[in-house]
Amino acid sequence: MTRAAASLGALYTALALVGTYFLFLVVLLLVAMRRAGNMRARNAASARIRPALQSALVSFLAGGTDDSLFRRLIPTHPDDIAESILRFQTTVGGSARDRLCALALDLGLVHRWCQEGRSRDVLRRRAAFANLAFACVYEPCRRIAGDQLLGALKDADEEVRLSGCRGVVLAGGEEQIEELFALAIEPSLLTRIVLTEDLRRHAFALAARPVPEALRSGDTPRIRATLEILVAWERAIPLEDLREALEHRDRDIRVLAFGLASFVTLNSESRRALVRSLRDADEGIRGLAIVALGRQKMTEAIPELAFCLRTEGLELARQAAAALGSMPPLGWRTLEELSASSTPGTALAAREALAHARTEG
Amino acid sequence: MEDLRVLLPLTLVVLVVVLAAFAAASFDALLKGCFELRRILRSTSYDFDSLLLKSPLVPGISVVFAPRDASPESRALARRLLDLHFGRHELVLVLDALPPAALDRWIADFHLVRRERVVPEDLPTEAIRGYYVSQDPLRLLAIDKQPGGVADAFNAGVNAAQYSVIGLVDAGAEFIPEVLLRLIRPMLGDWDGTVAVCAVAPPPPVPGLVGSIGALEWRRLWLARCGAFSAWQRLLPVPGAFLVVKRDAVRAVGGFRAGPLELFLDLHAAARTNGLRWRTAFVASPVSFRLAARSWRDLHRQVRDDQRQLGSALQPLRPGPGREFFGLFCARGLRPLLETAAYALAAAGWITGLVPTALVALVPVIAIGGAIVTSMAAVVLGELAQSSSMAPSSLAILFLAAIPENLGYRQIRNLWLIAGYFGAPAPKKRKRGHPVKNRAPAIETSQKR
Repeated sequence: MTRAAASLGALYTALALVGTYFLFLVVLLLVAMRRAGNMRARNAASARIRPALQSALVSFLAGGTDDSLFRRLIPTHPDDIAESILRFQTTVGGSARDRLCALALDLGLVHRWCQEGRSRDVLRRRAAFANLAFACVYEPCRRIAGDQLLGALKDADEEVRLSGCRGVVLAGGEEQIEELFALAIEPSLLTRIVLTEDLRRHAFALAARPVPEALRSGDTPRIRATLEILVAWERAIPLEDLREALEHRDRDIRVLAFGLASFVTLNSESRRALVRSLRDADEGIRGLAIVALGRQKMTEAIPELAFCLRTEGLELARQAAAALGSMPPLGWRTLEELSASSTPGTALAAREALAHARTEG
Repeated sequence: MEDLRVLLPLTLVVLVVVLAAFAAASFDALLKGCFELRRILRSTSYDFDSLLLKSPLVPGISVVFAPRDASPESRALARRLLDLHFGRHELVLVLDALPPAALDRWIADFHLVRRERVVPEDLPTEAIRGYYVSQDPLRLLAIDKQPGGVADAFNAGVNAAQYSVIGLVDAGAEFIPEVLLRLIRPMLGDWDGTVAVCAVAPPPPVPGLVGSIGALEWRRLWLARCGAFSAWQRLLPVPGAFLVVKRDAVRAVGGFRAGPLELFLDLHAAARTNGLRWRTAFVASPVSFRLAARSWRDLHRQVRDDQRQLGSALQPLRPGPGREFFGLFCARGLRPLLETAAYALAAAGWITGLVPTALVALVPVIAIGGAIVTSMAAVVLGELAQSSSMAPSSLAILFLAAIPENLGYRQIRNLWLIAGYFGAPAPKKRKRGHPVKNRAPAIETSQKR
């Protein structure tokens, strides 16, 4: 075969290949165009009915009984109705929320969500369980979907699991709370974040057993996760013994424990650990200990705080002075004495804190 | 003459084969990107945004921004960064040797006052002249420093950052206020493994031929350099991207040696060198993008800037992290050069009659035909990955714009790419990095400030 003939053969092959690809892409384009057209039509239809649905829902929540619009549109626009209902989930509570859930049940949406919850498509499953988590606050919905919600805790997808957890917590299943807390202190940060908010109202029940157990577990990541949750709650929960956490070898755990020590009532062991921490080698830990002592208003630590005010750098001295300023009258008296100190930093910090405390007091 | 009669066709055949291989590789990357983007977009949800906004467990983000001047655009960008919707975030504004008038402008505009501050010097930087905070209720820290360049400015920002995650944004990017909420999600899903997240999407379409060609450029970039590279764990920031990176990871690789692109190269290289389980994640939803080109000048500037960055960062023939991106070097550095050479040789061979006409015709069929098919595939696959809500007719127009794009513009673009790549400044030496302990994920435990 000559070079020219070979080139011609290659040219025809290349043209055929490019042409085939081109035809294949044209077919794909037609599919994409059809899909785009359908989507635009769907969006336009949704945009047309959404305002009417919204105002009908507002009237319904205000005590109205007319649900004719929803019944008329449910065969053709179930997703729009579901989305409109769910828009209210964060803004309504109590009986209004129950009415909303009852409406979803009457319209057959809850059964539809149950069905979609069994779908193999993860997106459908996610949406279904997010909706069920909201609806299961209402007892009749819970009777229908409660078991399925518990099953979602074992789903392969994290978001489905989270929706299941939220549904269980919101439905108030006390027996599952400990199980959910165990899930919250596992490594996934997203799970912890979502569940921390939902578990907040069960803080006292959890502080009785699961929290102390986790803190005593010796498992550093679990201890840290537990402390993160407790600090995030910012609640004065009955958790007296923090000594181990305050003196833990892991700095992050110590930092979190000092944060928590600011708003829980501590036993004598933990209080002594706080005072001991004022002599810690780590400046950051000393600073946190000073803040915690000030928040606890521990007058027995006044001599140590005064020592810090005299010996620490300006930043820590200011914190120590602020802690003393929160303990009138003994702390104020100490500040008055130290205001006359020959060390400029000490005197400055004491004067500032005293002035601030008097203004605030 | 006889030698040339053999050598020239042989060279052309080799070039044609190489160009065909590049076209096939491009198509493969688009396909891979389509599947990956579809996967990413399907797994994205915004269900917990309100929770993330409120929760104190979500790590804070320090957005570092180093403006070159005090222009109204720079100040507007700083304002938009301050207005981001996130639970705990701050803006670290690094003013690298700005003239006194520009510094005064920033001070006056944001009501800055000088504040003494103890900042760790984990990363070496030029001397800091002063720290400023705003008297307004703004989470803003401004740093006035001696001249040191972009990398030095970023390093100063990382040193002064209060939070464990650093945010970086391309100065030309448009972004939604919730961008940080979207960016933090992949990190929360795998805190120990995910060290960086990058978000970018194609810009809204612009009418006209320039707009269509710009849209085609973007679709190819989004599918290949974002989607496919993310699937291959080789993700690199592209123009218009918003990024978040863990501060400890930045420190572990020795800080910035140039811009974010080089930082990502160093992160990938450090992960491989030290056997770390580091991964980068991509957010494909439209949260950040660079505005589409509206004129040929815009288009040229965008192509040139991107190419210069790549040229500076990727030098596969020199030792460094750029060697691991040989494919990208071939696509952006080598291909334009070889394609232009193929056109020139084909034209010369045809005029002198040294090359058979069929072989001459094969060059445009492979180079131009292959590129048309690739651009058309980018339109279709991009649409299949995520519906862009374009009208069907606009989609068809964009599809057909691949033809004029490759008949004229492509050849000029090749020259821009060659000039941009090979005219880029040499890369700075890479720091090897070392593994560091992953810091506490949620509540900030650092007590620096």
